[in-house]
Amino acid sequence: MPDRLADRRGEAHLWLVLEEALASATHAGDEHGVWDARRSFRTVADALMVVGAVEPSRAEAIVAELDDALAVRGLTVAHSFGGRAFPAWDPDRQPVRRRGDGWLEAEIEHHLDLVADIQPGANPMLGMRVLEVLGPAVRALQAAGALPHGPARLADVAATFHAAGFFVDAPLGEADRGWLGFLRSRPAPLTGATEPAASVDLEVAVGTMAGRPVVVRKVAWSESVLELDVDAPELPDTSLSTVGWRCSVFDDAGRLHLGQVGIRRGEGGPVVFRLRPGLMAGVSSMSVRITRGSERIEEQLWL
Amino acid sequence: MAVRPHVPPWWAGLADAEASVTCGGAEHRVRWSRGVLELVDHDDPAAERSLAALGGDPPGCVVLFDAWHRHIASPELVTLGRRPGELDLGLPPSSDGELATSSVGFPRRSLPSAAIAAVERSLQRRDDLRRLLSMSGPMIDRLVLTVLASCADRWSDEAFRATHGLRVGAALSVRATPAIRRFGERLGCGPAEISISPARPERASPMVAARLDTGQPVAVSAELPVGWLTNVWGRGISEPDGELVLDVTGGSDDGREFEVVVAEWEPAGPITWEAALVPATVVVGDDGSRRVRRRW
Repeated sequence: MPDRLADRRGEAHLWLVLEEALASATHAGDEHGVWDARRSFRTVADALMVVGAVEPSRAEAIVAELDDALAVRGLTVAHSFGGRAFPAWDPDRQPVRRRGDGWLEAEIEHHLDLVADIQPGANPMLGMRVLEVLGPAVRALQAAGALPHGPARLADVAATFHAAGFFVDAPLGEADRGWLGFLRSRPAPLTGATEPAASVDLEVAVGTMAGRPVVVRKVAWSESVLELDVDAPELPDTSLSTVGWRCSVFDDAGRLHLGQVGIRRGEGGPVVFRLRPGLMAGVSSMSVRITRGSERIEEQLWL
Repeated sequence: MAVRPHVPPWWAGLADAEASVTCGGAEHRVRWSRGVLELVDHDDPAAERSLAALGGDPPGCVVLFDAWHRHIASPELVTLGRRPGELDLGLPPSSDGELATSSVGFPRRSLPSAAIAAVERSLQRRDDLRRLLSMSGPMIDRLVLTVLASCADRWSDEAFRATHGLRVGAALSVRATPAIRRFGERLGCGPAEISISPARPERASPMVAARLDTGQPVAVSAELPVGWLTNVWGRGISEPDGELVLDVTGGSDDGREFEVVVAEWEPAGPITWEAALVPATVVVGDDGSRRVRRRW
């Protein structure tokens, strides 16, 4: 491949996902399967466009080509066949690259809002469905080098859905009503940053990473922010795709605190999480999860 | 000086195919043979095209013939074409009314001439592709193979690779993956994770390698020439007698015998393997069977 293709991992991935979508739609052979394959493919294409990993006119043309390939297989109506020409590669028309964290955060929030109106007993598959929507896009952003921590973030989302009962294997009728109440009433994250008013010096070694101990030195919080001072192994801080470490915080009810900016690269230091009003009220402990690649540390901290 | 063996053209060994076309109220036939589209029921298509230019509708066969030649180098057809294991594909035949490009109403008077020309080109293209994709499945397959052969010819052109390289890479990957996966499983390390990319134009030989890291599935990576799609997959000789064919290096134009290289795993380190390239001959029987004779 010529060198100029080296930074086009997003488009390369989109072509491969087209093949997967086509295989999946052909295998399903019914309207549901075809609809699912098209929807999923469009979500992936949109995500890659948002982060500038694929030039929009090419992404749209690839989406149209999947539709045409489905029409040629009789899976959609023949008159939908468009046969549009594919745009030539133009090195001067390349979008600005962005990280995918913002996109993923917004998508998670969006899905939590949708789920907040539904009882787990009515659709225990919902957690799985959300992951089916988000998973392929996260995988695509990761392949494009725009979201190194996507899978860990999704694992957090899966855990929090599971805690609410939105999974097939979660016991029906035993959904965490408090968690649902929290979802339904949760106010927007606070925007004004206030200095942490309370703090606890912990000096707790929570595990090892890259052969070195990871220590949480201090936890400080106010009604709008939570700050962890983490001493983590020094890691090279180079390109977008470098795997640094990331930190997530769950409250004592197992709820993932969103609005978190939990990704760090390089050495340790303070990790600041923006909170929603009242979230820390009455919280006496929290779980801190620190991940780096496949390494994972999880520790309960008592405040 | 070593004499390079004769490499048969990409169409050698492919059976002729036909499609019927509604032409002037009659059912005519078009035939693909030895890489070329022929109009069976027209003696002088050029004269009929000239007559049509003076007024009147060109014969349906000639319209299809022209569409074929406008698109035998359109890589978009690669994405529309058949994948391994797919049975049949194709659009239902369209009536002339559905395809009549010039009768499609759009506000011509309010558009600049360049915009009108662009719209007409786009409609022409859609009509062309709908006509071509309404042919029989075997004819569509041969059209797509013609396009793939053109992609292989243009692979050394950097501008072509920049625009279509990723598409061609995905097409190669999806068509070669089943054979490479089965080859990877011969290592006996369980299901393999496959990664296939088109070889650089300057690369002389195909390459297949594998690596097994602790706790991971065996990772098999392959670099294949783009010509693998026509020379090997298109001829249905990617896995004769359970061998993996990586390239065709010679053979006869009648498609009865191909000199090929097949792959065989050899250890390259404690957790790595590389495929040795073993010369062999694939012999195609009268019944369509494929037999492999190793030459080492």
